[in-house]
Amino acid sequence: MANLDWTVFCSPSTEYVDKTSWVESVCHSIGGSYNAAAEEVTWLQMMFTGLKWHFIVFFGALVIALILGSLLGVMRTTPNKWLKIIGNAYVEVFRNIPLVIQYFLWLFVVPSFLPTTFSADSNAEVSGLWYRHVAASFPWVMGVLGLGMYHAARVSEQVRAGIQTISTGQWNAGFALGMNRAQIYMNSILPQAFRIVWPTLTSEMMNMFKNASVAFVVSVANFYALTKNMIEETSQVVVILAITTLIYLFFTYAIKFLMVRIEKRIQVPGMITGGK
Amino acid sequence: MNFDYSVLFTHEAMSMLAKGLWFTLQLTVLALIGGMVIGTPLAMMRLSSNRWLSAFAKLYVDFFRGLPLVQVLLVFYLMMPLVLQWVTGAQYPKPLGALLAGVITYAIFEAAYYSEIMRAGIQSVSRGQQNASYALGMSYGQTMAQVVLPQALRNMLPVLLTQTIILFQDITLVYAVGWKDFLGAGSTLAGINNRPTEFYVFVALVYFLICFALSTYVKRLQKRIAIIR
Repeated sequence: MANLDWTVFCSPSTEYVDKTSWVESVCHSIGGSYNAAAEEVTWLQMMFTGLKWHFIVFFGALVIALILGSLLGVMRTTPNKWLKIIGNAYVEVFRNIPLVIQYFLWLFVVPSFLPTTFSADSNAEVSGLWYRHVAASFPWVMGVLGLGMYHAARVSEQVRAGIQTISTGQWNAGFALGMNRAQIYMNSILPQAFRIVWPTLTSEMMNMFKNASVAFVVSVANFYALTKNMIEETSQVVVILAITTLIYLFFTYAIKFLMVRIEKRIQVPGMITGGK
Repeated sequence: MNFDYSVLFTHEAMSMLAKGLWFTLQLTVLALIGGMVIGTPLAMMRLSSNRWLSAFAKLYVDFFRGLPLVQVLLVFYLMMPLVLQWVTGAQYPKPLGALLAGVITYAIFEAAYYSEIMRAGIQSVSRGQQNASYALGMSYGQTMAQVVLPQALRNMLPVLLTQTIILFQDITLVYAVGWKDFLGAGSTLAGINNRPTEFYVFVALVYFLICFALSTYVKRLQKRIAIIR
């Protein structure tokens, strides 16, 4: 047990993985040719990595938007004046600036307000050096941050609206049972509020998926960025646009379908949106 | 870091930003009109008893609502010259001007959203109004133009304005195809002067002030209209 080698995962493996056989079979089935032996990278594979980055930005932003959005939504319904002011200010700022501009703010403006450190590369004092490094080496972090913060404001609007539709009787019942405010939020108000706003949350998720394509402005090599590259290099405008458009439609409505399925699963009989 | 906001107030920067803002405003207003002109018949088709008309309108709306705007912009930007060439039989594809191409794209895209708002607005007018005008011998066109739509428009005004604020913000996405809107002017200037912070802060601030003022107005309007109902 003395020498544990955690870098064992980095040692070369002797197992053989055929990474390209699926490309070959797809290309042959549509009448193209593909030389697996040369291991060349096709646009098919590139577009799949693009889709992967699109989804990474989408899911990352989803986590931020749901957690921060719910938190802000709750803050704006508490009786505390300061929490309300902070929540409202956040929503006003992030709702009234377009997403692309927010991305530029995250990319260029935020680091210039961070403390300066000496950079050996440019031989000068540079502000927010670590931040700039992250933005340059992991563009998806910028993509997730920008999209997540943008949609958190919108989610919080919906969560707040959901909480406010719940009758004060629910609060009174909770207090009568000896619960404190946090307990009532967790056990009574939020579970009901989320069910009420689920349909608007569904369209918010579709918007989030669509807006994930905008992450190309912070140089995430997502599906949209690669679509543009592919058109530039191959000039097959009609073919590429037709396929990519269909793929967007497929995923947007797949998300809607899933959300409606979940809505049916979680509905409570007798509630406003509960059905029978 | 040192900020030098004087770079904003040079003649060159100001005229370029003003040009960009003018493009954005023109595009917003023209796309709003175009979107309403296409969206209103779409909403009426959606509500019509004709199965095919209703199915077409639903398909139109679902199609555009399922796509990112940047993708729609790319499709229109690349396809419009080709379609124009095909229609006119010209030898080479001729690019449209940025404003005309923008108005066509945004009007067709926003029509999907406006038509849904219109549909909700028309449905908010009680059925009795329609029946009453039919009983008075009015035609479908007369009923819509003189009875239903004026009432519907008032009911949906706040939502319509909110969608227009969204349209105004969405104009920034023309960055994807390189047209020079307000943001485009700002980002070009940021590059020329190597002053990204100052220019992006300025652009964001202007956008914020305009949208904040408009959305505050919409909130007040909503309260006023709610009392009338």
